[in-house]
Amino acid sequence: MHRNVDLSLDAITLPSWNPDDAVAWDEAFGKVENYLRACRVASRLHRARLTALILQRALERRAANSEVPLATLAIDEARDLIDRWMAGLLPPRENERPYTMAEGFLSLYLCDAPMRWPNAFLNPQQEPPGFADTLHARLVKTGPELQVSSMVPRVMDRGLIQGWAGSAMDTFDRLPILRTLFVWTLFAILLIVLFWYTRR
Amino acid sequence: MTESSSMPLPSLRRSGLRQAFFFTTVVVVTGVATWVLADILWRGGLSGIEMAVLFFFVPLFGMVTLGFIQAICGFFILLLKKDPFSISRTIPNTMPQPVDMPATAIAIPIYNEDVSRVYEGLRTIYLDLVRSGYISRFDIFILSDSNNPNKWIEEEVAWIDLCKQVKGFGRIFYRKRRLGLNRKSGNISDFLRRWGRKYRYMVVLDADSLMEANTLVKLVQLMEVNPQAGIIQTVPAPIQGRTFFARLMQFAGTLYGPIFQAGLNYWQAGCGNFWGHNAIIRVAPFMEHCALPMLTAGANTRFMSHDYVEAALMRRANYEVWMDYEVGGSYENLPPTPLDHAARDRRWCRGNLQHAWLITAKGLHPINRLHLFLGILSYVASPLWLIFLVLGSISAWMFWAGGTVLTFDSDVGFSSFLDIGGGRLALMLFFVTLGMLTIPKVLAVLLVLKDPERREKFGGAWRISLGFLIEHTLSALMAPVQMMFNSRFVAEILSGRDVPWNPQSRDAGTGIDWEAIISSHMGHTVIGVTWALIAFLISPVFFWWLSPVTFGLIGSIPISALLSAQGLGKRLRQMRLFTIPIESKATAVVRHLDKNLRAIRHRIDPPEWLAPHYGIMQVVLDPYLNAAHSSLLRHKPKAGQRVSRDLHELQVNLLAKGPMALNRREQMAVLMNAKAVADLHDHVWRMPESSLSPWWRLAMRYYNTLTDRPQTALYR
Repeated sequence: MHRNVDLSLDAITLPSWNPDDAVAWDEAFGKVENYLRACRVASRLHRARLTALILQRALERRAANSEVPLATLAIDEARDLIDRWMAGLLPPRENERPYTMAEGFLSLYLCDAPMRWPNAFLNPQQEPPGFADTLHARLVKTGPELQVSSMVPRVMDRGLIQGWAGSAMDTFDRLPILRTLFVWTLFAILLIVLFWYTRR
Repeated sequence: MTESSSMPLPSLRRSGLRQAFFFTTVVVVTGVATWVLADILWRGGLSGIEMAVLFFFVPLFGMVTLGFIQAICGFFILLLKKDPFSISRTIPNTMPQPVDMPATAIAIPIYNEDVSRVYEGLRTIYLDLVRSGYISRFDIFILSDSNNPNKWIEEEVAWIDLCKQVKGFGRIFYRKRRLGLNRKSGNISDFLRRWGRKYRYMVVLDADSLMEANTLVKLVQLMEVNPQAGIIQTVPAPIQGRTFFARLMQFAGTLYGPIFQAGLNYWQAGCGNFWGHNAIIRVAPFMEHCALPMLTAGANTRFMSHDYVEAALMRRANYEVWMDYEVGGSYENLPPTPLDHAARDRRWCRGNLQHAWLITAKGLHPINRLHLFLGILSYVASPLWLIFLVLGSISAWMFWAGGTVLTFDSDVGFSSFLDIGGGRLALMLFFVTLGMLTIPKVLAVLLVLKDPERREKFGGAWRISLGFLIEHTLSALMAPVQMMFNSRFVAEILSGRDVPWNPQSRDAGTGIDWEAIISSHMGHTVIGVTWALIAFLISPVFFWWLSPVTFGLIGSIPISALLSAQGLGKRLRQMRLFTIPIESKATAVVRHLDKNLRAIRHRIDPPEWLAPHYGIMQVVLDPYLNAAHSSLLRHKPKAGQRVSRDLHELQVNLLAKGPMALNRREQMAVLMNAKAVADLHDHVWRMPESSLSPWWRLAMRYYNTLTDRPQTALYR
């Protein structure tokens, strides 16, 4: 069980300042901070504390993963930390697979955790009472149990229209040239009628 | 009716007598008017054009007569307050116990709608059901067919937020179809195939519908008491009009509507119509008999206006379809501007014209055939009026060009008996027609003026009278424009041009769209000016005869702009002009909805560069929404499963070039795949910034800092 991840300020020793790495560190810092904001960690202080902690962990892993960009390492660390925190909050039920991180986020979201407990995110030391139980009880249900049945259109006898008009319209739909010729013929008839009418 | 008494409906055979009386009157009045016109025209022979004028006069005057007689019948029913065929009177005034009520589904099909309006309406209905204690008997289904990624995500987020806020999980459900087959009727059918068997009744609502809990309960009660009823349609009252046009329409609908509705119920009785929403449906027979076949097998065409057909099929299966014009508590919004109204008419026009295929269908009740026919005629009447007026103009021009003296005044035929001459007889026919168009409105006004409580709710006697005069004048000026619009729609549809299925506009935004107004009405103005000039050349008298048509066309641009103005609408509301009772004394649900929507209008919108892709940004960046969206997709990824190559390419483009690099269909393809959605979230955060498009870099920096989330935001 990883519930008691050490996230205290005492655990943070900031990396020594090296101007050559400044851009990479800056990007990593920004990425982690943005990610935590996307996780709705609203408190700037809490966010800064978590960012520093995550960057330090990234620094520790850097030696073994020198080819991985620092920002990527830092995000991996952040997600790993969240994963372990969630695993502590949502232990798998008997004979069932462990919860995924997505399910953890979903539970947090459904019980409105970022609004109800704004400082509880990645903060196992100050877990609000009932927090884990509330998360556990959440499930999403988009619809009641399916009761599949059929709704089949019945054959409809459209009478006269199905006969001559229907077949004519179907033919026109299939043969647009014929339709155009028909319209032209109607127009020609109109002209003839007008011609006849004005000269009678 | 006493407090708790109820009266059963009389036999439908008795309604046959009403129908015989009603249609005989229509035929007699139309016949006499046609005979009079024939008498006027038949002086020295009947020319070809005169014959054509007479031919077109019959259906056009028939429509006017039908509306007039209907209003007269409705007037007397409301005056005497006695309608044995009112289905509302079949239930007692006492409300049933919730345990005695069957399970009912409330289905709300939506398609790229204003999400805030949909969910605030839904919240209002839900909370009213909770307050009344009947929520346990109703399940609410939001049935989405949206194909705009932003709208889809907004709907999902709003659904979860709403459920969280009102504790509605397990009571309010959201379902998104992967393919929007067969549009709205397909959406409902899909719902019924999956869940229909669980419910005895289904109430169908539109995106802008609102219904009180009491109304919902009464509708279920009515269905229980009347097992022969297959559909009961309520008459939704128009609300929340903000523009001048919407206020005008809701004033006219509320003031004149009741007598027309009572009159409609007079002749249709149990052969009523379904309007597609704000109605309750008996699910089992609907599923068995009302699935819509293809319109034409060869062309693979579907019905666009399904409701009339479903009503006809329900009636064919020996279930009755009733309109309950007395139940109240049912509301909807109206199009805010004349152009929005025309756009809606374009859709309805095609749907109604399609019904021509069913006029001769076997087994349909004659009244349903008539409904289908009247639906067609309501649109075809416009080109008929246009042809009628053009023929009249040609006829006048031919007289003018040939130097012929008009023979109207020669004392022959019927006019010789009255000794008034043909000209006066023509004038009489004109005024009779005008009277038949005006009298129903006057009667409706009188009914309201007679009732002190209603009179006060409409703003008092002088405001009602002034409102009536302005409305009547403006509707007369708008009629020729509507005639031109509808004539164009009919011509376009008959020539095979496609009519897109666009969502209805329900809010006017903030300003007047001059560009759209000018481009839409420029043609009308040119036709109006030309026609008026020709008429003046023919004769000044003819110019004035034609002026009701030409003046409306000439003034179409300023009139349309004036009617689209929201500021003017607001000022009129302050002056209590065009006030309707629901504004004077709003019901709790309307007040609640108004309050919530007002609050939403003050929220901060996302910046312009972000707004077009806000939904896709939320799903990709936000871990909560990414998880929520993935969980709502039906097909979950298996472990180790990869997305297809095409989808992978779309993912890469989405991140490297931004959402604008994908079209709407491609965005939907990505968002419909749970694995792709999860991958995107992972990649966007792990990838170095240099590999991401500038759009994503900015979005990451601004997410959750600049804007409110576009969702329902009240009562947290």
